[in-house]
Amino acid sequence: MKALNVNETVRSLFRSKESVALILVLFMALFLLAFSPHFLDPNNLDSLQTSIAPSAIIAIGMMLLLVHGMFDLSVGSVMALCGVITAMLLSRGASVPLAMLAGLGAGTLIGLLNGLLVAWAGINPLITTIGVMYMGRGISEILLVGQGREGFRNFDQAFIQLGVGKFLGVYYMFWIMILLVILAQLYLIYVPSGRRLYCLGGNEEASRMLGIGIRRIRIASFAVSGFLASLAGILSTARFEMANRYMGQGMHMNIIISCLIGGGSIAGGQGSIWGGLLGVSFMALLNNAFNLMEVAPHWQNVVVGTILVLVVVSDGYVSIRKQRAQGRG
Amino acid sequence: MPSNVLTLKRKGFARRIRPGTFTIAILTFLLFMLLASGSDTFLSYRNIYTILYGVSIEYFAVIGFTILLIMGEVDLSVGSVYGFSGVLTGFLMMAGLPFPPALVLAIAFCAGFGMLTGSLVTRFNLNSMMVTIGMMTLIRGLSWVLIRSQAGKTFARSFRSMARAKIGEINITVIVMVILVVLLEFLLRKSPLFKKVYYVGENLSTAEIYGIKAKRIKTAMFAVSSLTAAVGGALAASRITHADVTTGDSLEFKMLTAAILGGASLYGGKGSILNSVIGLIFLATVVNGMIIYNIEPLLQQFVVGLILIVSVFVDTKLNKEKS
Repeated sequence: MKALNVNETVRSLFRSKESVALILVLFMALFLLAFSPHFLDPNNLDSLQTSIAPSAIIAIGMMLLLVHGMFDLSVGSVMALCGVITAMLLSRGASVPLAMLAGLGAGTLIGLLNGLLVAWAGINPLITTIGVMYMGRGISEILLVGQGREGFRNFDQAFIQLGVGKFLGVYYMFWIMILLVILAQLYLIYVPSGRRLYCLGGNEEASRMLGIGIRRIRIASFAVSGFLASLAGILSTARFEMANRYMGQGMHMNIIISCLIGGGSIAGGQGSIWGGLLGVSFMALLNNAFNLMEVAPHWQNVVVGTILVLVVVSDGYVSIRKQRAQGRG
Repeated sequence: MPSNVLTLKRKGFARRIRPGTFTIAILTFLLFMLLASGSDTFLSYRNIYTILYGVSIEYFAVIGFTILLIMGEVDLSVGSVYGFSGVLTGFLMMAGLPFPPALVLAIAFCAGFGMLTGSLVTRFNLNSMMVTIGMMTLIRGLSWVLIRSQAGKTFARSFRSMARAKIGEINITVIVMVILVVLLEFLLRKSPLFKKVYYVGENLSTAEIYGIKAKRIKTAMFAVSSLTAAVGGALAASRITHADVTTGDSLEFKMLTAAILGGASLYGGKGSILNSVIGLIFLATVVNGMIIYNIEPLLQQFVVGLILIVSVFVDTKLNKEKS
């Protein structure tokens, strides 16, 4: 039943879950506007942009995976590794396009590896991506041997421009993010293979019977996730003019939490890219609020953890209610 | 339905004679031989004892973790609870409580967290992984909040000496480990409660049809998981002698790797505490061997990740053949 109603499911979800995230974001923004005089400072808006953009780019890949019931915990580690690879090549004198291509290529390859392990070898995505996360961190540690705490620095000016340059007063990376979000959202709504993601997430057995190439979809989505993570890594390397081992720490949790707030679900079958963007914005604003209100940063994890638990619980509560309403509880 | 009853009964018997039960023990033995063949330092009493002593503190966390895995649930908050219990004990002692009640209170508090997680998971039918990720973030945050007052201080003597207590030449923790593991292994095979744990893990709905209170057992086992992690964490804190928020960082993945190496499965219904502990000894030996042979310590993460993937790959293949 579920699989046949893909179109309706997509539309109804588009109306409901994302609106909660939208309200949360608006609430945070209004709260900050009302209580913090520094919220609209150019500096603050700049830092908001550069904290949202990389996270939202990664969240696109994560959402594509969540929609069909997968997830990728290696994104933070891939982000760091690819940033480090690009930075290392640049500091050894490689040209900017070559270094970036190497970083993006490495990210895509790691994503492919994730996809192959999950789709072909049939290994649980939790284990695969945690294992790959460890391995990625290990490799970046090795590449960073001999560098100080700050890691690689001193890049070509053209590369730094990518991170700090602006167009119409907005960072390049923010434009890139907007473009990618629109493209991915359109893909999910209008392209047949994007719609199949929902179908696959809603009911894997039915999708198999419909003849959907499940393996191909899974492998491709993991590769896209790896590619986007590496793009985010390269952009933040350019922005902060360094790549080190602290990059992307805890990023995977941050992104998954954002996506869940934005209407995604671990069970699959729901979520939208634009919801992911809202979730990321909410987390960034929350973070911003902690800074502006000068609350000890230690409380932040407590709040984020509580929010995640509440989101997961309400998700479960709603789906139980739905099942009961349909007479299946 | 009748066929399900049969499989339940048959599996109880088959589990004991299943080939592969001793795989991890044999693997560990082979690894020992391999490492011993090339280095004298490895086989020295001191070195072996160091490995055992380290495991005798960490293994507490794997007990509850394995029981939950058998029931088909994952508790990713063990690492954070492991770190939190030491911090909380220190905090309570700073607040003026003497050592024993502070310790008991801290452990009880952690068990309460586990109970909360368990009741959320069972009440709302949630994915335990997601809930425990939230709990992990929350508890880590609490550790950061509580540790601020303890910066740069060491624990009181009574707390510090806990993990160092010895009978003769051997640490009490090692002795307790041997006794506890043997006892638990015996209980897992004989006691009705633990048999129910396996039944729930193998087939939840069948178990419920036969009147097993699956939800209640699960909730209790989540509490046990946090409790055992808290006990291990308190011992670890006592060994380190000061509160440290990084205690237990990514411990959950080590526990997962150890349990899967020991034959537990993400699909539930399988696993043994003895084998999980041997899995932990295996991992500790790998790390120890890498240090002795001067292999780049940074490769450790890489190797542990690789072992995790390979062991789950084997687990998946085994499960496919069965079904």
